Amino acid sequence: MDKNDFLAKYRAGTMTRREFKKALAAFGIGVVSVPLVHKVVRAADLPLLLGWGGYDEEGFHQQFISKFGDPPLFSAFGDEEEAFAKIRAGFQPDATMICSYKVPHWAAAGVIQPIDTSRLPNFADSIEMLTNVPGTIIDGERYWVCQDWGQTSILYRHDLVELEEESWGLMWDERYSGRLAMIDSLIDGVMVAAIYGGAEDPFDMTDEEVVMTKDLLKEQLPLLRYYTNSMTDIENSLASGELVAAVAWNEAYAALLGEEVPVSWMQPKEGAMTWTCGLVLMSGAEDVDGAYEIIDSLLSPSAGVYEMSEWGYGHANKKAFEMIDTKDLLRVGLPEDPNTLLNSGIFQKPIQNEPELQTMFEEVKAGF
Amino acid sequence: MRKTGISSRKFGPLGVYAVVYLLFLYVPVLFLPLFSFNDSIYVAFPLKGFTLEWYGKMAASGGLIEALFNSLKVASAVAIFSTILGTLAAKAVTRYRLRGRGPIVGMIMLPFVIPGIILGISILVLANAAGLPLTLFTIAIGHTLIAVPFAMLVMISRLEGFDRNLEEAAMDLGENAWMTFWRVTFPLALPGFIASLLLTFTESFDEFILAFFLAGTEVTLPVYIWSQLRFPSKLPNVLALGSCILAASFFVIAFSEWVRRRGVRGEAAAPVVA
Amino acid sequence: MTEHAKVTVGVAAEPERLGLRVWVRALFLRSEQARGYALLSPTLIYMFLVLALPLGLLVTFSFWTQNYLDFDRSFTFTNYIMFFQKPIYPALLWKSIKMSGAVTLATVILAYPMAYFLAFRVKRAKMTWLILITVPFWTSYLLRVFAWKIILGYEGVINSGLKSIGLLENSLEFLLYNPFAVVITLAHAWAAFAILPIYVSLEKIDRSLLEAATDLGDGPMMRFLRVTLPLSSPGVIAASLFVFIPTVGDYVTPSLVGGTTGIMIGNIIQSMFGKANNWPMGGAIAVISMLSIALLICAFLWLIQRTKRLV
Repeated sequence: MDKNDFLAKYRAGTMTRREFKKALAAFGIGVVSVPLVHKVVRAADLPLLLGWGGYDEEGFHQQFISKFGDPPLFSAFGDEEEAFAKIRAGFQPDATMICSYKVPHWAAAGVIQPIDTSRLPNFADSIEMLTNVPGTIIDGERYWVCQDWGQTSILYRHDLVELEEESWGLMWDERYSGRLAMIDSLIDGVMVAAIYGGAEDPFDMTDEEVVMTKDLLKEQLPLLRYYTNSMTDIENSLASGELVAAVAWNEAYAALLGEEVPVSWMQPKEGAMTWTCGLVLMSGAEDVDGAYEIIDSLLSPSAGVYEMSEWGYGHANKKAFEMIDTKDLLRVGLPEDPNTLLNSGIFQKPIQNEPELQTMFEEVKAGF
Repeated sequence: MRKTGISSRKFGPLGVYAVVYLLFLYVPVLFLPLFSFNDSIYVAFPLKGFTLEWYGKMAASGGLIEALFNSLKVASAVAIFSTILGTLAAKAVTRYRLRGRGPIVGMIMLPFVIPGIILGISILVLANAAGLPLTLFTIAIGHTLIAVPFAMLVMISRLEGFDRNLEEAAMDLGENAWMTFWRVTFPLALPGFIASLLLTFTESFDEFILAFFLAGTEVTLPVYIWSQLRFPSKLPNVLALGSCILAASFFVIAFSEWVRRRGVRGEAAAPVVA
Repeated sequence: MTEHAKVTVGVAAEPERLGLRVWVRALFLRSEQARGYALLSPTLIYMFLVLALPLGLLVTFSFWTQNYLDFDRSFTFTNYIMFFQKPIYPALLWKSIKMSGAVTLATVILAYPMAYFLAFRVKRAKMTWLILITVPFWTSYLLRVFAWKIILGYEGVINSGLKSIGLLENSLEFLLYNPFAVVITLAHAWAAFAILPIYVSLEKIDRSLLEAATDLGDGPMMRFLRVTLPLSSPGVIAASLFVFIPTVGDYVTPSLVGGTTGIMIGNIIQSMFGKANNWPMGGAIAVISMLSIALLICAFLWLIQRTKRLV
């Protein structure tokens, strides 16, 4: 029974039940036999990159594509902890994107292996400060190379906030109760409280400092509209006026300016935080050569220019800063000389006693 | 047949309620098309201006479209498999007085109670042990697991109290089991099938956490959208896609309704689907 | 039932006359248990294959402890004791149950008249109506959450609307980012899952029963309470379970619209397997939640049975 015949009979109501069932069965078999596994062939010959959603855009992989014709295989995650759980359950990518402060944890878990930078020609052009980020060289072996960086600070509506001084204290200002938001993570959330409270080393706190941080977080909780991990939430809320200030990443500043929302980016007197993210080589990678190709391609100047002009993140490659149009840099809120920004803030480091801090943070968020 | 007042008034207060309820279902959803034409990356009032930019970007975003089709494939397969498995189970527990019925139903309901992240992690472990590469197939396996309870409960609520004499009469008339199923059981269970297919399709189409753990390089739509949430500038493309899904669904509904009405007018035949 | 049993016995008594193959076949066809289990087997085998490991892992984990990255595999009740020692866990579980209860109640009560309308008032195009109800849920859930934020937000539709007609001076903050918003969003998200099963069970009610009730002098209300509602109870039960069980463990909605006060037990479980990286504790919390849910459901079903017998 062809399709038109089917429709005609259906319309006329003359179709017998048997015919209808046959059609239904045919449809069912058709749907079920649609190949669910059509990419296996390709999976065999290209390396696999695990990264945040969006890094599969071809602008990042030009060097790789010019060599192999296609971008690397890509699998996306939303946050590193989910990726870590997935890897521990047996998922096997060749290279993975993580931020520097996670490196000791991943290395201790044995999921990553040392990187031989002599196999990464573009690594030689890295900004010097980014080649020795704390925690990424373990026992003399380099486990991580930096791809991108930026700042974590307060983004606020200057039309709605009366600022007395540039300080993290804005996030504890009762005048703006219910109009503030924090990032839901240890590194960009709890560390803010630690820095504001004046912890000697926020990333390696004493017991008293942990108590102090917890008290500050508890004090802050009723003032917050929400905790989130999504810049989409924060940007939308700042744009609509739902929020007047929030802890954010610098690309959110550029994006809001682009939409002509009256926002400012704070340089708190206690220091903004600098984050650095990059790439690791997985233990048990099936295609180590391919992994090096992926990493080197992501470190290339062309990927750098693309990332800075399209995304507003700083890139690790010096040559990218030379190649990019200065106007593009200023448009996204990056300085011409990356070192001015990199020297100004507090570098994020691996957090000691992470599990205890996380448990404490969960308790605070749940109201205990 | 004397009317009992059940069908004489079509749109009483109940009809009004139904319309209000449909509004409740649709009002949030109808904001998606509104903002998909808004000339701002932010989903906030006031509206900025009219643009078709996001539809262009959506069409150009290979990942988004691919994710949509992946989701459609997985959800269709899941709907069919889980409805079959759910129906068999429902038939067994409603038709036969089984020993251990309670524990069995309980076990089939289990995936419903286990947190998704735990299912995701352990099915991934299982797939690795079995040497299965992560593809849409593994996602479908996971989704079928959580869709079967839906299918089974819907079918139980349809088949419970089902008149066995009908089936037995058919058997007595010399029909074999298979024909009995097609001629008697199937038509009676049809509304249940439809409800089950719709629910299991929807469940799979919108599921995130299992799909995340069981996805290799091909992702489903919710996983793709979740990973894009990092970028506010990608949200409008996704709004445009949501609007297109809505529009396409309406088109299909309107078309089949039009076909049906022409059929009804033509020969006053009973619709195939009751 | 007894009829079948008798036949089975009769057949079993004279196996040699029928021949072994026929006997096995007859036994298979006639025995309730064998046929029932044969019908169940594909589903059971599938569920067992995919489910045994997750369940086994979960329970095993919950009796281990985690030391940074390594599991300490010695058997211990530490996690379970911890659950009841720290007020946060029982309190969150109880809060989640209350919130899901509210969602379930709201969803099922709102859905019932709609399902009733579909089953009894809609004569043609039922299929169209069913799909019409499901279509909103084919747009991504995350998008619908954004839509709710537009409606309930500080500068959202409701607040701007009320302000523009002068009913409101300052925006209401309590509409979004709290348990209330979680309940509304969930009640919307699970609507189809409540309507469809109720519709399916209403649809099969024999109309002659309703007529009989009318003939016996029952008014519409009595007829509904004595005939329609009890006969549709399998659908109502299914709907309640569909909404209640998944929402107790939900973590996405609370984290998106729950703000600082809308957190539920699912968020804690999620973080134990993710950020906090303490799988054993996560396992123990999950096991306790599952047992609580199971107990609640048993109590719920028992209550329904009792009420039915009373009516």
